[in-house]
Amino acid sequence: MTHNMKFDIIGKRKYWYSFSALVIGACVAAMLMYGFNLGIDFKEGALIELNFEGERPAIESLQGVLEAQELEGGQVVYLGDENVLMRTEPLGPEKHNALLAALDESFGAEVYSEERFETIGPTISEELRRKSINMAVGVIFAIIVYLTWVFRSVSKPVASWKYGVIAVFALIHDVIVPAGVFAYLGQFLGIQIDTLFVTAMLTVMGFSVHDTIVVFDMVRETISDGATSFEKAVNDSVNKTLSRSINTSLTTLVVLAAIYFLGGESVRYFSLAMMIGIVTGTYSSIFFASPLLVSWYNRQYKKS
Amino acid sequence: MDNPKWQKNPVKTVSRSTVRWVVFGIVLLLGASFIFDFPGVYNKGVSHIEERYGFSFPKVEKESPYVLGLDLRGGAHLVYEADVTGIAEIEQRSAVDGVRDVIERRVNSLGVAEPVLQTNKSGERWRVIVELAGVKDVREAIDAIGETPVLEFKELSDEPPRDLTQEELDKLVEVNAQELERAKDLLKKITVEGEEFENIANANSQDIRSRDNGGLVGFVREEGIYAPLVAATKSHPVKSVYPKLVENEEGHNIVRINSVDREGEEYGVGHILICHEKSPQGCPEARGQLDARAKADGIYANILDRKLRMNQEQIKKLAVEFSEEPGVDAREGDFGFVSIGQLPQALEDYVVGAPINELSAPIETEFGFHLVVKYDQRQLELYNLSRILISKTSETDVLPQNDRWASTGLSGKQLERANLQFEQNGAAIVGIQFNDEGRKLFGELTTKHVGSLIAIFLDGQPISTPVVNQPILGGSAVIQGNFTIESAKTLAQRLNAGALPVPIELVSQSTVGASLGADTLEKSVQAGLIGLLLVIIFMIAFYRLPGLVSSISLILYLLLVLAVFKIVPVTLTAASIAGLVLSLGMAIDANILIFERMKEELQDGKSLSQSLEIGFNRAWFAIRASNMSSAITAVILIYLSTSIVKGFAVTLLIGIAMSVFTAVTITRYLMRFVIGFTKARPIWYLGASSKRDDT
Repeated sequence: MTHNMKFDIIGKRKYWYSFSALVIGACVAAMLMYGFNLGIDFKEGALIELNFEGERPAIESLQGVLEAQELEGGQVVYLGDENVLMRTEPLGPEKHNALLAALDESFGAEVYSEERFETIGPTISEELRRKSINMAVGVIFAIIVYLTWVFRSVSKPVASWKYGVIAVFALIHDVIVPAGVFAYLGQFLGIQIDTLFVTAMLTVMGFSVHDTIVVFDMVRETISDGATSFEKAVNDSVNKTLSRSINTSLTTLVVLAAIYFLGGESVRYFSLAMMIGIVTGTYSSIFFASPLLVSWYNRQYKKS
Repeated sequence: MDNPKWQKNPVKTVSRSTVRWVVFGIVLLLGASFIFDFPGVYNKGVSHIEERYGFSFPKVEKESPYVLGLDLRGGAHLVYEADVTGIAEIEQRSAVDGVRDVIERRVNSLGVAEPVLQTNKSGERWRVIVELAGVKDVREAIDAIGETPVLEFKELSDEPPRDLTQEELDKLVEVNAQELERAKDLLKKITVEGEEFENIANANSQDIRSRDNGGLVGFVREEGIYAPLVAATKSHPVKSVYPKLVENEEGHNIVRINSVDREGEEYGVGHILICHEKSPQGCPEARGQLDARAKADGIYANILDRKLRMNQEQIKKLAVEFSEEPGVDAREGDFGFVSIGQLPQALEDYVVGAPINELSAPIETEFGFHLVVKYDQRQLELYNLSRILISKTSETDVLPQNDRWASTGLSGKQLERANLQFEQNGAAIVGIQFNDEGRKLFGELTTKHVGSLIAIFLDGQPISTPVVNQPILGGSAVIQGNFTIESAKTLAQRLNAGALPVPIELVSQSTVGASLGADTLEKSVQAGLIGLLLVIIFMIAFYRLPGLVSSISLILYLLLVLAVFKIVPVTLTAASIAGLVLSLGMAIDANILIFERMKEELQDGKSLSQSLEIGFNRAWFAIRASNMSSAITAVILIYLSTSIVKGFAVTLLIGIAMSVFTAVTITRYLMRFVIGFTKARPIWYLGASSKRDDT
């Protein structure tokens, strides 16, 4: 993009730290205050999507049917132009049939069709929760091991494990932001998180590390080429990778936007979570991880 | 350069002709993968050229389709949990496999195309996962699957459930007369006109087992359906056709005995049984084993005191007087002729060496105490028999098939287990073991039906109709048939499924209508194409010629990944297509890294081709390291996750591997090829200025 300008990014790191602290604070607050709105993957339940040929019945009357069936946790929302989404407790075959019969009776069997039905019982949702946690722990552990290994040959002036630790900080930073945003979305727009959301978060982790590695690799190379000071070396490296970082995240954002707008309901929030994560990941590799490297270096040398 | 790890390759020069050949190969690869991925589009193009210009290329005849997941093609994903509490750990798998087979048969009977069934064990829970693609009425399928398998033992019905109408009776008489006439004709052809028995059998016999063998049945005993045949013809000379028709329950037979074989011995045995409270068949009096032994000893002494002449009739009378065996009034304690393996071991040990017509002292078995008499002993005779069967239409044939069989009260509830066994000659058979109640019922049933058939029905369909050779009192039996090891194993599994108490519960269901699936597919593909287009526009706008080159690599990347999806095959879901589209953005990252590095080198004043090679070499470390971290993530997702996420992770992993290949190797050769046409340094297309900015 702009190639001949050089930004003093590292020098202004106080501002970036404050900004990150503000955003992270707001996200952590949301997670603590609201928690997550768990989808049926993680919290047992059923999901029924109906398609109406003509006009859709009022939400209240649909809600009334759920209440008449004495189903717990009944929720009804409109979806798209023709569809209705209902959430209830898990439905076994009997309850499901009874509900459809009640819908037939209230609105007529011809005017609607059931396009999607999902029900997840407690054992499965518990297992999915457990698997998601295993997955997250597994990915984080593997990434830490891998980072330590990748940067094993760098030792001066900053030890290799510190690159690894900072990359993990950046990774946590990058996951907290989309997670916090979804805590807000869950609270105010009723958007739920499911297995795909967890997948998006783990992919964001991969991305975040990907970005951080590229910047750190440049730092390493600049140092070995003989830079005047560590701070300048880092700032040069960030500037050199700046257009790459921005261009890469732009191409990825472009395809994610295509999925968000055109890809259909099932992957919409997956791509939203990814977009937030990728913007954050790019931001953190430039404005968070790299300055942190310098701060750590400075502290180390002040002591000695 | 103190760390040579990512820069050790000096700038290589590759000869121009190598580059040309590689580029030629790349073009071929592009074409081939396009045809493989979209044969429909290619064929249309070929037809179009044919119409317009009159020459044609070969078309693709056989297309391998993409495998679409249920969310894209519509269908139902059902997860059942099998309740295996109370089943020994070692038998759980076979029980669950049995459940799966039952579900598969039920689903097949609904006419669902290619149902996919899996069993898996998650922790201590056994699951059966059923995927029904394009199923119309999921509710019907669920209803059918949810039934408990029904295993029943049936006997031939004694009387038809309704009387035949006069019309039917007249018709039956007429048909029977025709059948007899036909049988007589055939017999005449052989005995009078001298035609070959084998030829007539091949053309006319209605015994499916022997027809194609020239009527050769093989070795049989004088029992069951063959009893009348052997009885009538055994005194007739061997190897000549018996001159009269022989009738049995199946119809009219033309019979020839080919040879007689004597093998082993059989024994006529009768007994008196004194039971105790632990006897599995039950006991009229509650008495312990010691009391039972005392009673048996008393009866033994009593009988010896009478100084009777022992024989078959005598032991029958005594059995009626003393024996406590269930059903003794009907069978009078008589086993009839038995051979080795048919009696409880202790009785057999005695009978083999016992003198004829002598009462034994009490012998203990699990059933109680037996006083046994061997009243006869004879050679076991096997007759090698050929026959031509002309079936006789019976009343039960006129009535619907299932009416022939009557329920016996014996069902899967009383079956303890079934397993695969082998006969001495290695033939696979299915062994079944009843529980106490079943043992009693089965004993009575087989006693009643010696020589006749018992049918085993599973879900209303007869799966095996063995002939009862002798009464089976021990509660275990084998089902013989022309089983392969596989089919015997399957039958055992099915029997276990019918017999074992394995209730299943539907714990999760996900159903997508076909129209919603098609809609999602269309949207996913649309999103992918738009995403691809946007990336290409972006790359060309920012990087000009190299941008164009990397776009070609990107298209090749997409085509190759799609080809891998077809070959593996990878099941495509909305999530996995999203993974693929996402990987487009990531795939281009390697090229962006390389081009940025190239730009630096150009700014340093290096030549275009030098910049190209150095740019690739310097970017390689970052490309490898960063893609590795994504690949590790993908591998962990594949191992730890559930099916939706797995689809995404698999596409991501394939995408990562393929993108490193296309972005590095393919782009590199294409760039070398393109650069070959420029002698100067037209660096405008990289957007780099030649002056280095040194602040």
